[in-house]
Amino acid sequence: MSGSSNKTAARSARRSEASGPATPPLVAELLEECRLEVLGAMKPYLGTGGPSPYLYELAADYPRRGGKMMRPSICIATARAFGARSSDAVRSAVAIELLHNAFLVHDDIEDESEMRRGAPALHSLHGVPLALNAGDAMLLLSLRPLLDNRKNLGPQLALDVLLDTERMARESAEGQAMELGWRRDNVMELEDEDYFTMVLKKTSWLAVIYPTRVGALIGTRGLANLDQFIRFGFFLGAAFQVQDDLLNLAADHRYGKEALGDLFEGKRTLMLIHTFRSGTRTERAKLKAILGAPRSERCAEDVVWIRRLMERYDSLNYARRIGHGLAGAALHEFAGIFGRLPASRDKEFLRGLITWIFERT
Amino acid sequence: MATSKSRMSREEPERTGPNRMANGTSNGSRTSGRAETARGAANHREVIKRAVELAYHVVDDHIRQGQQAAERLSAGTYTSGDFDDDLRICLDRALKLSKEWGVVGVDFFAALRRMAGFRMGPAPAAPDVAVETKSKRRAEVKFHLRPGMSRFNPLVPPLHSADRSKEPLNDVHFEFRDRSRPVLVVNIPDGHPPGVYNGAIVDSKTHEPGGFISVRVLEQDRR
Amino acid sequence: MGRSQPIKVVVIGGGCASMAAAFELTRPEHKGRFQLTVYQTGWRLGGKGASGRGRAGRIEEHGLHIWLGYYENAFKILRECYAELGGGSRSRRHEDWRDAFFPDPYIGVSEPDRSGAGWAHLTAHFPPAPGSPGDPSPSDSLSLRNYVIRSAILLRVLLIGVETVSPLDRKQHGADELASPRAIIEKAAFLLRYGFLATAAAAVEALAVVEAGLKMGSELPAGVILRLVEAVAANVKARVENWVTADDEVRRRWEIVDLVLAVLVGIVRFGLLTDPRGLDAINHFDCREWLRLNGASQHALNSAFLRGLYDLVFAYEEGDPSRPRLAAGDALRGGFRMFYTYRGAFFWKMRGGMGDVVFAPLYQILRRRGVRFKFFHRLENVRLSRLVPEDGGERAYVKTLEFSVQAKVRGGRDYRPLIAVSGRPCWPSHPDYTQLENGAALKTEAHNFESHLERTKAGARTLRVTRDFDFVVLGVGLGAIPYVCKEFIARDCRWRKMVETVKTVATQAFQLWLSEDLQQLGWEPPPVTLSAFVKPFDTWSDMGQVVPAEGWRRPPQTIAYFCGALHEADDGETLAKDGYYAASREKVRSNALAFLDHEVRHLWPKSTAPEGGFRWELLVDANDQQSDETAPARRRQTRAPDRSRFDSQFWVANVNPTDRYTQSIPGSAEHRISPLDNTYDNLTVAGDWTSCGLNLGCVEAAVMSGRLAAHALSGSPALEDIIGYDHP
Repeated sequence: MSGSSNKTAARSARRSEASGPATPPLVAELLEECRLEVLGAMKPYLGTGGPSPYLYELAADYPRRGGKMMRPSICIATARAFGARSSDAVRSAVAIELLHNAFLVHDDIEDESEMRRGAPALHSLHGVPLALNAGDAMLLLSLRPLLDNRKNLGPQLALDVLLDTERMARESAEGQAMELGWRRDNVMELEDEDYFTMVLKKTSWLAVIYPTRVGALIGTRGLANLDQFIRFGFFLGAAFQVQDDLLNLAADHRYGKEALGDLFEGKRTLMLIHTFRSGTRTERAKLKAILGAPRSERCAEDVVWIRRLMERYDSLNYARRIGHGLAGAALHEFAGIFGRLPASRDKEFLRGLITWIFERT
Repeated sequence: MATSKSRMSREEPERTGPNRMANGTSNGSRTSGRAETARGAANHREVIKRAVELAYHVVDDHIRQGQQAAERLSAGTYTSGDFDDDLRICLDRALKLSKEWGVVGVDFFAALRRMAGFRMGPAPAAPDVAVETKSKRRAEVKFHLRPGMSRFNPLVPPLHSADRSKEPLNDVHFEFRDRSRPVLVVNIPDGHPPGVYNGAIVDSKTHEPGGFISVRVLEQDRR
Repeated sequence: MGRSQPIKVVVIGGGCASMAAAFELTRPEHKGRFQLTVYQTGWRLGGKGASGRGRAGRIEEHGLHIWLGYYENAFKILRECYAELGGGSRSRRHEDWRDAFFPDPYIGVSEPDRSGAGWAHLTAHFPPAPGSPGDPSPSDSLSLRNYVIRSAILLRVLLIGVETVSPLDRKQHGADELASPRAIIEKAAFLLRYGFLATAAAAVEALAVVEAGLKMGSELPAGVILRLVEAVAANVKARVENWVTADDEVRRRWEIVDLVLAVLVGIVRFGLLTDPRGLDAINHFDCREWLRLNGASQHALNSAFLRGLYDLVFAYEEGDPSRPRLAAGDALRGGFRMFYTYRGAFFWKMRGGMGDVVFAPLYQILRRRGVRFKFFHRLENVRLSRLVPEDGGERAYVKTLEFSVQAKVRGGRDYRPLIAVSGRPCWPSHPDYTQLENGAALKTEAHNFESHLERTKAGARTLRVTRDFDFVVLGVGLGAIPYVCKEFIARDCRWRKMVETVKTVATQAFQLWLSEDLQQLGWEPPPVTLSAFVKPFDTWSDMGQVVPAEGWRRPPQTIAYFCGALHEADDGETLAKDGYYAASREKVRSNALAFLDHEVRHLWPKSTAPEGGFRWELLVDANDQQSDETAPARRRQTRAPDRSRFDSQFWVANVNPTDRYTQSIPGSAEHRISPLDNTYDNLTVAGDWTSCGLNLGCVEAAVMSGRLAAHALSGSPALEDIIGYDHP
């Protein structure tokens, strides 16, 4: 079974690469609609004015900065594609966005990032202890809308959503642990398989798998087979991540984070591990040495050398191709899941996302 | 004013360090890297195909693990992951060796920890159990046995598919034929619907779970 | 890429590395592709290898310059240089390199004797090995496996009790029965099981098994070998520790056995035979520390042998004798090369100063090949292009080079640096002021143009990329880098790390011209190079062979060179203090006087005066060179010379940053920068402080580095042709 599906997925990939992206404007429209809806629904949960000035303002900072709200939109769209209404899914969508932002706060601390969405990272503004606390609080804050689900989804369905939330949180933490562990132990001998596993857990679960599963749970009142969303979500999420990593290396300053920041961080991207595998013994030793040193000792010369090495081994194109392949597989899985559903804006939106990720800047 | 000559730059060196494995060691490692230079669209297609296959492999494993975890969760005996066992086996070996050689254990542990790494893949099948599949269809059997399990009489209750409409696989059991290693016998009746069938391996005495097994029956026939 | 114009290369510094690079880049095979200009401070080439001529044409060196029999690259260049020179016309003293270098097979180490009041000296004679260094085919396979096998052989020989250490001894004892891995394992198991290793003979047999096993390569599990080696080690150690030894000779042999065993155990235990880093894998250990980890006894660690090794490479942090530090990997590499791969003789001494023997011929050949030399040019700063990090294309590069012109040559001509002494071209100890503008004034002012603190200048000169140079070979000593490469250090963390971790040490030396020969002085054994003697002058070499090259009317009987590390802080502040140079020189002088009064009699028993102290009349004063027959009588009438006679000799305090000796401190090798490194794509570095494969302070490392620099710029010589570069 997997043999034949691989072939068709690969065919889809080639087709998508050949014909080029054709994202309907629908994607941007629907994203914007959902964003407004979610923002509105989020307000009561971000209520400030508690006794402590050091918590709620901080917790509300990242969500207020904006962002495309891709994750909550996926949740709402999936729910609607399966026949539910926005109002059924919107609280879960709010929770997703709050969780996402909570993880961002922690990620920024762990990666020692300086910027987020065009402004200084939370820990840069308030220091690590307060930011860390705010991140933790945001995680717990996100429980509230999920608990409120009991009212309109019923206790069983709300519990199902909570259980999936636990699963997603665990997978994300495991994925993050993998990545951090690689950095701490300066592991560079990684295969693509390792990278996929890490991305599956760390990125895909929160970005696509969980939102679609929750959406499907809500839309089918708990009857959907959830495992198929793991495949779709993984491929889409991984393609998203690879594209993200490529953009970081293109060093477009409008992106909102520092140029070549990933290299300074030592993030194990598909490109970096490919470069490492391809390099000569001395190059590998040098790469390991640069990435093994503390971040403060990494200088521009080192990063430029790595970047140049990536060019030499064509690692960027390698990753780009794989990204396209993953998108193709996502398309294939999409067809399998949503194929028999009636046509709808939401269905088109979800399908359009697959090409949209390549058109982002 | 501006010089018409462009600035000269050195050629890239083939390497910037000595080859310390040269001369007389039997390793014969290569000095140059395995640079992947894509030549032509054929290579690109190959890359994509391989990557997608790999990605499928990764996600399918992941799904299976999740199912097993779910079962463990419901059975109440959830542990934190397969990689713990790998590590434990490694460390046991390390202790034994270090006692034998009297070498400082610290270096061993460090090296082995690197080896064990953070691989979160499925644990390999216990090396001392053979698998025999009796089926007309092609089937893939993956299982994990906690160390020590093979000494007891492990029992395999029927393996179920997530699709309730499919019949379970009832005839999967261990056999101890002679003094050598045990054999896992997987019987798949002809015409059994393709799908993934999972189950736990339990200790026949205590009924404690001691492993998991997953059988994927494919559509095609063998050979 | 057709380029009609030659590539302009600026070579900064005139030491071994720069000269090697220049020699390579101007080979006839390159057909004039490179146009070189060498920029040198002061009036002479040589850097740390420079030497001058003083009164009576006596040779005045920076220290002891002895070449070792494994200096394949250095000898190759030298011999080719001589061959090319000899191809010319006139009668030259050094037509053949063998006139300039001669083999010296004796090495000695000293240790305090039993009474504690005196010293005992051990000398060893290293038998000649076939061929000569620099011969076309390199010596046997430079592999760790080979060294280990040789060590096993050596051990067997020592245990059997043979006197000399022969690198040629390859006789296999009973090797036929050890032909297969299986046989080896069986024999090893047999020896281990029955505790047969109680006797030395059995240990010998066990070593034969080890040797055979190593030759089997990877088919034999390392574990078996390790167990055997460890068992032998245990056997030997047990015997040494139980031993109350009356025989010093035997005890010293056991110390060597102990050390070699520790090396063997360490190699197997650390997996060095298969580690891709080779010996670099243990470079974060100090040598003694590593040997101790592998079971060497305290006796062996304190042995004269090991002390001599540290002394030979001045391995004392900041020259402090209480802080010996030597990277284990670099030490092993140097030790293996030194003992196992020498060709001809262990040592090769020069019949002249190094400047005369090495740098004068090189200068002449390079001039002939069209290289230009700019003396009295001192590098002040290297300026880089702006850093553009996001841009994947353009590299940073050297933009300008700023020099001070210390003195200008009259008429704008090229400075002619050589003088003739005894009919041969040499470097003087002072500049030829007659060639310089303002020469008379400069002479009176007595500037030391080689001193770091000397700031006199007659002008400045800035060279710009493309207009004046295409490539740069930075061959200055490591000590100069913090001063002239400030931009590198500010923005490149690797350069910063390098200057922080790769260290140099100041050294002190003095030379004596003696009116009696060694026998008369009381030294019985043949002339020797000896180390591990009392500090600070722990190394002595008899240099009688250079007497004929000097210009004495009444020559001394012999010459003695003494040297050692100088305990000085490593910072720029100390250097800048007023009168620092004078104070250092004074310190060395008083060290020498004390040494001569109290210590040298342990070497030369008959050099003591009846009332105690040194016999100062032994020292030959170059000013005192009347050939008058009545001179001896006249001398007897005047007052007997006292310590002030020492002032007529020669001594140095090498505290100038670029005169300091490059050390191999644990943890520093990985931070050295390679000449092949292409971060600044019109620059290469050269010197024994670079990552040159050998990573020790010596002529060979500098020459290897220079050849690497030439490769970096031209692709030639091939890396495989730089002998010893690809080496564990």
